This record gives sequence, C-alpha cells and structure tokens, in this order.
Amino acid sequence: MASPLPPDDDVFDRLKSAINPAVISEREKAVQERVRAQYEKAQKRLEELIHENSTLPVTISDIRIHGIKNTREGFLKSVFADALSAEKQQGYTLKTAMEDLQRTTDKLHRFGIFHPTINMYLDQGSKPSNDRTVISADLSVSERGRLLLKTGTELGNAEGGGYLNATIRNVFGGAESLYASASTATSTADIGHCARYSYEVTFATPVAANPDTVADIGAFRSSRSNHHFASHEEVMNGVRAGLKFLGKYGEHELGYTGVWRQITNLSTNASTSIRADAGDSVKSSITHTITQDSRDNKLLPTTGYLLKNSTEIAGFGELGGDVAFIKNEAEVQRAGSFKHGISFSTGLRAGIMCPLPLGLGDNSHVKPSRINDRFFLGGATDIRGFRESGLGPRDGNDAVGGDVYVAGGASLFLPLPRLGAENPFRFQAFVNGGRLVGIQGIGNGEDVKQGLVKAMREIGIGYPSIAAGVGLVYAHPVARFELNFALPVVKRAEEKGRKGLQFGVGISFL
Amino acid sequence: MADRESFFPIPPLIRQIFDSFPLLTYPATPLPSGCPQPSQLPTLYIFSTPEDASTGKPSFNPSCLKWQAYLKFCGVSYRTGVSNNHASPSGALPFLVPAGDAKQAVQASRLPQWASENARSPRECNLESPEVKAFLALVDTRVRDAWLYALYLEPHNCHTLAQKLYRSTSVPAVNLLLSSELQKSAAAELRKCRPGGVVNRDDIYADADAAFSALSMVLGDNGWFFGAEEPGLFDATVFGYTHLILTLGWHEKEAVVARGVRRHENLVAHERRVREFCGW
Repeated sequence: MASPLPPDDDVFDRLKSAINPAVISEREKAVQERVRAQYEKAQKRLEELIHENSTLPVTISDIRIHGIKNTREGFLKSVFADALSAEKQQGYTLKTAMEDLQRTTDKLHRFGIFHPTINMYLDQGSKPSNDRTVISADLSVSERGRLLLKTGTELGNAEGGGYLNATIRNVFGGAESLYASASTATSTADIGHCARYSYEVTFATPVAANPDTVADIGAFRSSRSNHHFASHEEVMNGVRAGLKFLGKYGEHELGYTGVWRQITNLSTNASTSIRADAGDSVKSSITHTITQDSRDNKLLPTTGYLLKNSTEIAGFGELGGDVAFIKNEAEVQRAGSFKHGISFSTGLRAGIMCPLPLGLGDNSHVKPSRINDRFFLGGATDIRGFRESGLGPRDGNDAVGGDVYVAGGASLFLPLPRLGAENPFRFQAFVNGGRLVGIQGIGNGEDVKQGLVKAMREIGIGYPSIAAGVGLVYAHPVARFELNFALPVVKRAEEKGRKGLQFGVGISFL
Repeated sequence: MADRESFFPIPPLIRQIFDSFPLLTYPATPLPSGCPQPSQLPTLYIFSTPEDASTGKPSFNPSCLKWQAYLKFCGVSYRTGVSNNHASPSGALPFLVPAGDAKQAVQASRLPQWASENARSPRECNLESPEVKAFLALVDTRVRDAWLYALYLEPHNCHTLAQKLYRSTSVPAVNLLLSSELQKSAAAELRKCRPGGVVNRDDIYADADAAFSALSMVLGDNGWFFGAEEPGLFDATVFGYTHLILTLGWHEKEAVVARGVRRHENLVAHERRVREFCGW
C-alpha cells in the first residue's frame, strides 16, 4: 500500500512553486555527468571493439568520397590505388586497413587542394565475401578555393618592396597548380631607385598521384641591382624545369635551367674587371640538390642537423651556352640546446667551381669564370662583421667574387633574463669567418687542375677572415631579424669589414 | 666611420679599441683569372673578333675603326680588346683603358684630349673651321645613313654580315632577338632625321653619292684632307667608312654604296694611303 501523502502537501502546489536554483544546477550537473559517462562508455566500448577485432580479416569493398567538385576521378583512383590493391586486400586486418586508409587520407591532405579537416567513416561493405568481413570507407572532404591571390610587402637585405602572387589550384583536376608572381623592391639606401624586380610563372604537378614527387616547369624574368658592391645591374631571362622527389637519403631536387644573363648599366667608376664581364651570356645547366633537414625550426634551430649538397653542371657537351663549369656547394649545420633555454648552432659551408672545356672536340678550350657565376661571401646574413660581399678578391671598389670558398660560424643563443625561453627574442654571441679565393692562370696555358689545387691550398694559408660579436635576435615566424655589434678580427687588405652595428633580415643564416 | 660620428660622438677609449681591430691583416687576395691584368700598354676596346683583336687588325665597326686609326695617327702604341656596348662608360664602343693600374676608362669623345696629353696631336687641318665642320656633318649624316641602311636594312646583307659580325652569345635564339633589336634601332635612327619618317632606299643612296662626290672634290690631289701635313680626325672619320664599305663582302645586288665609293679614285687612294700608314 502506498504511503499517504502528507496532509498539507499538494502535488500541484509543489510543482507550481519556484524551484531552488541550487537544485537546478545540481540537476544539470547530474544530467551532464550522465551524458559524459555514457559517451565515455561508448568510446571505450568502440575502442574495445576495435581492439578485440583488430586482427579481424577485412577487405575494403569501396571508398566513397563526398564533396568533390573539380578533382578528377582518375586522379583520386590513383591516390587510393595502393590502399585498394589486390595483394593488400588479401592481408588486411581491421587495424592495418584503418592505418592504410589514414595514411592515404594524409596523402590527400598533403596535395594542398582540400581543407584540412577530412572525415572518414567506416561502414559495412556491399560486396559479399566468403571469409573476410567487408567494410567500406566514406570520406567527406571540402575543396579549397581555386584562385588564391596574395599581395604584401617584404623586407630583405637593405631593401624593401611589395609582391603580388596568384595561384590557381587544381588546374586540371589532379592537384596541379599554376603560380604567377610579380615583385619589386627598392633599395632602402636610395629610396626610389628600383633595386630589383622579378616576374615568374610556374606550373607544378604531382607525379603519379604522389604529393612528394612534384614536377614543375616555368619561366622567369628578373633584374637585380648590384651597384652597391659591384657597380652593375644583372638582368636575367630564363626557363627552368625541375623534379622534386624523396629518396633514401633525403629530399632530392633535379632541375634544368636555361637563362640569358645581361650585365649592364655600369656605374661610371666601374672597374675593368666588371667591364670585362659586361654584356650578354647564356647559361644552360643541370642542377641536383639533396637535403636532409631534421632541425626543429629553420630560423632558430635548437636541435637537429641540416645536410645539404648542391651540384651544378653548365655548358658540358650538349648543354651548350656561353659558360661551362661544374659547381658544388655543401652545407652542414648542427644545433643543440643546454639547460635553461640556452642553445647553440654551428654551421659550415664550402663551395668550389671548376671551369670545363667549352665546345666540342678539337675546338674546346677552357674559359675562366664570369662574375655572374662566381661565389660571393660576406654580409649580415652570411658572415657578420663584414659588408655585403665584403670578403674575397676586389678590383678597386668592386667585389669580383671567387671560385672556391669555405665559411663557418658558431652562435650561442641565450634567452633574455626577464622574457624567458618561450619568447622569440634571444641574445646571441657569435664568431664567424670565411675565405674566398679565385682560380688563377686559366687561359694562360696553365692547367685547370693545377690552378684549382693551388686555389684550394691558398685557402689553408693563414687564418680565414674572422669576425666576432654579440647581438639581439628576433625569430619571427616569417624571417629572422638580427641586430649585431661585431668587429672584424682578421681580414685581408682589400676586404670590407663592418665595425659596429649591423642589421640583418633573412631566412637562412650560417 | 665618419658618418657614425655625426650620430653620436665616440669616446676616445672606444675609438682606440675600434682602431685596433682588425688584429691581423693579410695582404690582398689576387684576382681570379677572368679579370684583366693591368698591362703596360693602354687597351682600346672595340667591336672585333678575338683573333683579329689580338693581332691589332681593323674593327668592323666604323666608329671603332675611326678611333683605331686616329690613335695610330697620334703615335699611340696600344693593344686592342674585344668588348660590347654594355661595358662602355658612354654606352657605345670604343673606350680606352689607360696603361697600368687604371681605374678610369676613357670614352671615345675624350680620346683626342687624352691623346694630346699622353702622346701628341697630329698636325692636322683646323677642326674648328666651318668648312671642315660642314663636311664632318656630311659624313656623319649621309654616309652614316647609307652605311646603316646597307648593313641592317638590306635583307641579305643583314643576314650574312650584320648577324654574323654582331653576335653576342652562342645561342641562336638569343642572337636572333638581339639582332632584331639592332635592326629596329637602326631603322629608328634613319627615321629620326627624315620628314614624315619615310625611309627611301634610292634617296639614301643618292644622298650618299652626292656626299662622296663632295668629299672627292674637297680632297682633290692632296694626300690628306684639306691639305694637312698629317692625317687627322677628319681622315680617320672618312677612312672608318670607306675602308669597311670597300672591304666588306656585300651581296652583289645590295652593294650600291660600295660602287658609289669606287667611282672616285682619289677616295680609294686615300683609303689605301691611310691603311698603309697604319700598317694594315
């Protein structure tokens, strides 16, 4: 028998009266707890289910992709071909099938034509199978806009300017892209005088539906004013084609460049060395670069190393052109950190350029290098404590460049006392130096090999040109800003050191 | 360091420290082999081929040839080098780099002054007299126009002569681009002084013929123009054109200007005399 209600309590009265707010919040909390407990239980159940069934043999019947407008079906088929291949289907378990699908979804993401969120659902498959469970995957993607226009301003070494980029994504439905860019810069030392302009058009496409293998072809036109260190302006018009791919030892980049260079617009007091190289020359060359980069941050690394080697062969055999040489540059960088946010970074770079016989057979003869192709060393982003292109041989006021060089530097980064290690500011103490020499005697009957060996030996004679100093570093996500106080310690008579304050902006430092 | 003084004065101690750096200075690094070594003789940079330049042969460009001959008249011993318009301080060849460790290149218009300072001036006619000036203008307009037309605007000559001589690179595509630019600028030059911008082949050659007749008359039986004792700038200017007009391998249908010169025996003799004087 139900107990009778207390005589003076009416159910309706109790319902009508306002409820205590504390009671409400307690009730809400209880409800939320229950919902969360249910959700957690469902997740756990799903995990257990998957875990228990992870070795369940499955086969993927089909993959459906929703949200495709412009991408080609054939392209998508080749992206997923690997995951759906016959031999993989035989060996799939639920776990490996999900891993493979996840990997393929990552690949889709790396093409850069879809928005980052790609959702994947597994469902029961439609195809009947005898001994394996059939699943099907549903992917829902959303394509990014086709046209991307970017304009902005940029800062470089002693110059500032603006750029306009346009990118058309997914041109033919296979994640190809067409990129066009126009940029111009004016020298901050001489406002109004155009220091540089460049136009570029490039078409890039992934090869065999692999986002890590990209082939590209393009044309460019640029003009750069080198008046402040070599009294001339260099205009370049050219075409290039390249292939990027991942190999066992790192990222490879193979390319062909054909460029017509013109050294023109000489200053009135240009030296005879610059006058000798003025005019037109065509370079036709093949380049190969291999990079292995494990640094955590390219601008201010605290761990990891960088290994990079780049080789260029110009004018050899069928390549043609007006210059023939083989050039090799290697770079090694190592970064590490100590306690309390202190880190260090050291780097070493070396380059060598050896002229080759130009022409074929009996007509071949070796011509010495031109200033367009030689190496330059020195500057705020290079060897601090020296002016831009301040190291190496000079003719009067003009830096003429060199054929062989070695450069190295070491920096110690300390976090600022009140700001701590999380802040992008650092106090740095550095020492850096280098040596740049030219090969002598070519064209005078001396053997090229002998000249090269002599130049390499010359590098070892005496100390390299060295500068040391301290400064402040700001690692902005886009570029690294440095304000240093440096003094050249060792230098050659004609080299241009920079005593005192030096400001630098760049994306790659020694 | 002077500009830093204007911002804040550097205390003498700091300045002393600054001045003691760099601690070690080595002698200068020698230049790479692509850079020209300072030479004992002045070097005249002209349009030529490397083989011809090394033996001092005449250039195939009238302006360069004129100064080559003039320097010989002044008794300057020099060597020749190959270059192009981009290298010149004035934007056009020739230019001279004096001997030794010279930093300043001398452009063509300053060569007479340079020659008079470093060698001697030839005993030539008075270049300031109105008659001489008028005839110089005649050569620099009518004869030059006929030369430009014959070399650049006659189709066969342009293909066999201009494109082969003024070749900047070894890549045909780029050379084609550059020689078509040369052609366009030659045509623009011709259009400049003509009314209405109309360039008429027969008029140009007729004007040049008249100029040759006038020159022949003024030369008469003299050895050098205007009865001068030694050849001078005027002789060099005329020689610059007549030598090339007579010796270049023109296409037979387009050699009108060569026939125009050959009609005047004393001009041909003058050209031979200058050539022998210069040892070519």
